[in-house]
Amino acid sequence: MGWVFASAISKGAIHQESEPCQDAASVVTFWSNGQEGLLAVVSDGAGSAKLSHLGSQRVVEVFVNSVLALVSGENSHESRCGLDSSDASLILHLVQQVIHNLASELKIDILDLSSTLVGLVILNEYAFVMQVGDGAVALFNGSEWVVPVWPQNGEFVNETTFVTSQDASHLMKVKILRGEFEGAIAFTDGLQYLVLDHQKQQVHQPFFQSVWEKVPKSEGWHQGLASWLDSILKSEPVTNKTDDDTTLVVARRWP
Amino acid sequence: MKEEFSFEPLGEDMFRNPERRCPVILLLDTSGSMATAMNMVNLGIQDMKNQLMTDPLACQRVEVAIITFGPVVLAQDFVTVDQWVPPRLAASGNTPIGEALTFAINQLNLRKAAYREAGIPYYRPWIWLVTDGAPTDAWRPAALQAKAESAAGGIELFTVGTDYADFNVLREISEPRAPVRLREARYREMFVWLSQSLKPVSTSRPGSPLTLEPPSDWGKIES
Repeated sequence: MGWVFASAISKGAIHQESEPCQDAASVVTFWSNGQEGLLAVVSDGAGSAKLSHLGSQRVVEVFVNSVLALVSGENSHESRCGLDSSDASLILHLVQQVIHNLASELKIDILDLSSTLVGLVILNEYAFVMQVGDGAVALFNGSEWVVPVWPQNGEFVNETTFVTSQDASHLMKVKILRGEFEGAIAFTDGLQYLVLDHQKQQVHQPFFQSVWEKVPKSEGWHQGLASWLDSILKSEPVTNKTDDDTTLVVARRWP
Repeated sequence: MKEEFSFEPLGEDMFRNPERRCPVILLLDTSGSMATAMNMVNLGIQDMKNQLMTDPLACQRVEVAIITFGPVVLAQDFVTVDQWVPPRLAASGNTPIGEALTFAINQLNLRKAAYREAGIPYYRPWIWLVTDGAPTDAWRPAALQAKAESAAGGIELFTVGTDYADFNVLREISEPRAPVRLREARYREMFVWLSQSLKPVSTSRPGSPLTLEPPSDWGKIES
């Protein structure tokens, strides 16, 4: 069977009615060298930056387009399998370029488009994660959940790195994992303190387990799953604990 | 392929309780000369608690400690606002601002170490220093320490003085932030402003700058 996937984004109570949600996300499958791969990305626009929803949308677009251009379809080289750290640098560079152009076009400061990036690619026996800032993706290897890159916050909870930060390329984390992964759950920082145990630096099992077992045996985008994820993000157990935007992406391939 | 799909959201116990803390030290001059103002200070502290209690997130995240001088005493160890029973402060003694400031910075560092140990994320701590006089001790080493902490982004330090305070000293301590001159013993308005300012801080997200309302109701910035 192929991948079943869905995502949901919910605007946090911190925003006024008229303000946009600053999170963005995408999840798609693609074909590369005869295998079906999965790509997921989440991005959180900075709380302060007025137009950061445009920033996070661009981050997501550029990541999706770059990954597809690099590994999918006819363009992918025969020997090419997955991405490496130089691809991650290239993608970050493209993201920065696009954000820079958008800032000049809108005549705004580049910092107004401050956004994070958590990007994931899964192929057979392979996973690639690139990350700038907070939020995270957890992968399931069939027996346990691994978080290849822990959310990058500063000493203080309201500090992180953005793709627009001067030292972003230096602080970006790239992890390439060998092994078979059944799937992944990605989320932005609005949810990270609810689903990660920061003291033990591991996932909060009850959440991951209960989401994982509900993923239907199906293929492609699953609207039922998406609606359920949306209802989770809008439910009181979440909204009582965070007033930030929340994003949840779930993808699983059944054997 | 259609299957039955449950739309029940997840229960409370499926999530961690995301504790986080926003530590604040009230560093209050309770020297003898403050005697007539103490009633206002005590009422102001009570106002601060009441104000913060109206914000469900702030009252779980803002953690207050009170250090009085002199002599330097930890009158109230760190406690979240929802558990806070403000002590009643009385005035006596001299004005060892230097010792008080060093003690406050040390208390904050201990607190941060405790947060890290417990895996509790935290916001940049605040020190709120109020005095009606001039230091009676060697304050310069403490001022240098405070300045270094502020410059490194480790603390947000605010100083407030009455008309009899030494603003040159306060300016040196709180640099680059200017001290505020309290208008006519408006301690209560000051504490209300402090609580209003802490509310957005305790829910701020990455990239949010610290934005403060002008203190015009209760003070004048001595730039």
